[in-house]
Amino acid sequence: MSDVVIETHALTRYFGRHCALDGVSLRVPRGSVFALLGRNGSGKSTLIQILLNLLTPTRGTSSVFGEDSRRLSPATLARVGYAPENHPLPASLKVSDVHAFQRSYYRTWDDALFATVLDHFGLSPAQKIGHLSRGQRAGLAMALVMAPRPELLVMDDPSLGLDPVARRTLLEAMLLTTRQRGTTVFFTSHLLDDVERAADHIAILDRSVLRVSCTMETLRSCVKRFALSVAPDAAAPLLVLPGLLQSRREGPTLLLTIANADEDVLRQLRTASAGQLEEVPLTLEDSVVGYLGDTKHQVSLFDRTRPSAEVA
Amino acid sequence: MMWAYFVKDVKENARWGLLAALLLSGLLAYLLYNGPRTNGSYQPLSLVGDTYLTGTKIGFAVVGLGLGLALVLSDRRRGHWGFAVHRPVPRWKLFAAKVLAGVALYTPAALIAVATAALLASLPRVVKAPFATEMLLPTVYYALAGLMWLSAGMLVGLRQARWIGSRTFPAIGVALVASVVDEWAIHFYEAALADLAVLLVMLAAGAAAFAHNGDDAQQPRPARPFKAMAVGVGVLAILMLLGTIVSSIGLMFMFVRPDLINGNRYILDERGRPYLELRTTESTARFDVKGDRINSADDAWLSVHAAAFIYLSGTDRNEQTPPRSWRRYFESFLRPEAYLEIKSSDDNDARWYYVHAQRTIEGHSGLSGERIGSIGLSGFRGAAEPAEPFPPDVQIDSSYLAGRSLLILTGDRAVLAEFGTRNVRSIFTAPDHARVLSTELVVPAGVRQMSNARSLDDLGQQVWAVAMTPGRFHLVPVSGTTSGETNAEVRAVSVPIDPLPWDASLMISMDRYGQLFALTVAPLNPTLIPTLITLYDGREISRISLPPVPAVATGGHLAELATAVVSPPALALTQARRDSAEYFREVRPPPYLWPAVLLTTLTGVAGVLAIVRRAGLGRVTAVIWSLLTVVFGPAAPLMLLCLSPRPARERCSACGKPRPVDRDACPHCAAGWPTRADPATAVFDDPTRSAA
Repeated sequence: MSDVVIETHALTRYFGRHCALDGVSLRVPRGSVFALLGRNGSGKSTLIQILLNLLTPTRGTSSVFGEDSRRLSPATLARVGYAPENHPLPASLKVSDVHAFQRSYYRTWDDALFATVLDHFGLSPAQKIGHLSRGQRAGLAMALVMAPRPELLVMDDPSLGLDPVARRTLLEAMLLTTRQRGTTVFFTSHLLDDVERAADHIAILDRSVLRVSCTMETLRSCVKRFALSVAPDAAAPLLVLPGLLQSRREGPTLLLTIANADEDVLRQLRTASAGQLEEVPLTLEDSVVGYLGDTKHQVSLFDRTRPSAEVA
Repeated sequence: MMWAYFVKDVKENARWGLLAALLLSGLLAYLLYNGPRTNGSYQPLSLVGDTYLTGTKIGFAVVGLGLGLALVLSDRRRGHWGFAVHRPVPRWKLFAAKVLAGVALYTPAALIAVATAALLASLPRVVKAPFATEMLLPTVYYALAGLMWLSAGMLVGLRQARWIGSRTFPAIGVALVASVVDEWAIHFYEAALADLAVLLVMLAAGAAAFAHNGDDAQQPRPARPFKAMAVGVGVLAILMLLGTIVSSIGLMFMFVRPDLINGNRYILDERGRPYLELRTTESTARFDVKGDRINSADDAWLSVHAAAFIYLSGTDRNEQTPPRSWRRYFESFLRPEAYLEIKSSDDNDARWYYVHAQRTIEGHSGLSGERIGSIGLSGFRGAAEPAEPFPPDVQIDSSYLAGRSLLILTGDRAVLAEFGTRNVRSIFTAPDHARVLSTELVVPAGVRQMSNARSLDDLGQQVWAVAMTPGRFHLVPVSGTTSGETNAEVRAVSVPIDPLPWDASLMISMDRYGQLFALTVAPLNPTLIPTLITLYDGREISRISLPPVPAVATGGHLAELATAVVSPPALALTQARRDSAEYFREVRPPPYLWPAVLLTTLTGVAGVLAIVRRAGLGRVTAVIWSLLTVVFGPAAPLMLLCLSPRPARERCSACGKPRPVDRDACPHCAAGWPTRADPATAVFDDPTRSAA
């Protein structure tokens, strides 16, 4: 049995002239909780849809459980649970209707688990889906996708629009399933707290390009923040830092977020700071924002010659 | 599993099924009731009425198409597709369940509508026209055709394409096929089989689209012909429409050749000598049988005192079964009809219906709509008496005089039913009990509106009937007074015509005394030559074969050029042959037609090769589509353009030339795609990914 559940190679998808996914290659290890992060429109949902043969790639390949995504067999599909974005369910049907519908497709269906999750979200079988709250709909979607006890759970922004309690409930349900049965979870989210709590692997898509795909530990060890003390009236030192993700000036201190900072980079920093160089703690949010940029301190990621003074 | 999907789809779309039932039933009821409500006088609306049938056809088509779209579009919404198809079952099973759900929703709706129409039409005093179960056949057919539209709707909804682009082509194609079927299919089974073929093509294309998320480019090779057919017919329909528009504009406004011969025929002088008359836009020229032109100064004596131009069928109509649509009766002289509505001009403004299923002619009052009686071979019967059916071999002829009379053939007899006087009388009995194949009433030109018939005014209101029996032509006086000017009477004539052409036009020429002296038989088949039979005192005195009339061309430069460019060559040729048959001339396309067709074909093939190259398709595809271009003309490359993938292009970072984004290697320099991730900031656990 392979250790890799999902694998993509140079996966690319165009919508007309717009490139929604650009040469994405990643591997999702078995048993991992893999978070795929990125801004809106960065290609997360596109990637998931290609993986599950809901969309065809323009070029490149992808596989799930070793099977080409474009030819997933029913047996493989039975091993994959999928919760689409926004929890789309037929509004005109009742909870019992979709239960019966979904149940008929899976031999491994767990009625007890389904009932537990429904109960957790305060749902009754007689309720019409169109009348459910967003949180209840998310709960029902979660129950439908977890009850077949899939080996791989693919969820597209499952906590979108949920209140904190519902979010926590959802997260707990997800973690419970994963920890108990070794299910692989591949999900997208914008809520970095949840990701930090649940995920052990992370990938970051920025404008259709995959920039990070690693364990949380690797990310923490590779992306660091340094504080340089500079005189308030002095011009920022001119630095050429290949791994610079973000820079921010706070009075006499210049905060730099750098990926893959090697000895050359550190030497430059020490020289520029005249010895006043300090590594400061970095949260996951800071790291991710560093990759995805923000409106005030946008860093051009492809312009390696850009002087930091200009950036600062 | 299929059952679960079926149930889910039925439950999810039940409201659309209910809406369809209400709409269709309401529409059919409205169409049946519409007449009495809109006018003070009763309109002859029935299950075979024109308005009803047109409305029914459109209604079932719209509802079928809408239901098909509703079934699919609910699943194609953002996110819902995943819920719909991410299931551990082959996609085709899901599609089959969806189709069955569509049928399960549409069928009851259609059945309720048909039952509503049948109930309304069959109840006395509700729809005031005769009712026979067979009259439901057109409605049933259109209801069944709705399934074809349902499948088209599903395909339209499933295919990934722009709504303003090729997405609606399958529906346009179905509209074209439906029109063709409506026009050409005579029997119910013919129409049903044609629709079934369309249905199967649509379902095959739909299944392939469903299995591949609506992406045409990803579909397997066996599915492509179905997709090509489904989309291609739509392209063809649009091209034909464009061709018609362009041709019409060309014909109307410009480039009409002044020397164009737009009509030809034989005419006879008063001695019975034939002359060929060729009419151009600006003048009329006449030639004798040797081909010498007659001086215009001699035109004065070239006249035909009386002539009628009629079509007669040499085919026994009883060998043709009733068609589906009653309008066929008026659209073609060569086909029989199941139903006939005749408005008689008596004081009741009555409507008379020939009810094919019962072989009866029944009348309803135009004022109250009440049944007023029936007409049979034995005469008129009142409302209280049952209608007298005609014998099984009865033929109802197309001729009628302003709604006053109807020719009816049965065996060796031809009888005339006169509705105004409610009388039936025998007008012709064939000698030796020969079967009467066809009859026609010859009436003044003003009534028949035959452009090439001279006025019969000088013969007063004399009416003749002409009839065909195997191997013979007959002309008999029917009614009317003799002309005050000539005081002449038409004599009965019986002339052998052997072999009898199947479908021919006959030009009957008479002298000023009503004496028929010449009969020109012009077969519709242009390869057969016309025959001139000269008579004297009712007897044949000579029979000669006339030279074939010269080829002529109709239309103008632009119109024909447009036809050649826009419509397929095969179609252009078919059109030319049809025109030829219509005007009894040989096929002789204008000299520029073939170069134009050749040029457009070559351009089309070049277009095919360019598309194939751009889309990266193989040689076999290029050959097949080039052959299709030769057959179908410019429609083929346009079809290929709609069907072939058109990937975006980006400039190659290695050679700078544009390269399609769906290929791994640049077709110009074979370079791969550069990695766009910045290695300095990239963090990957996977060493191979890092290296990339």
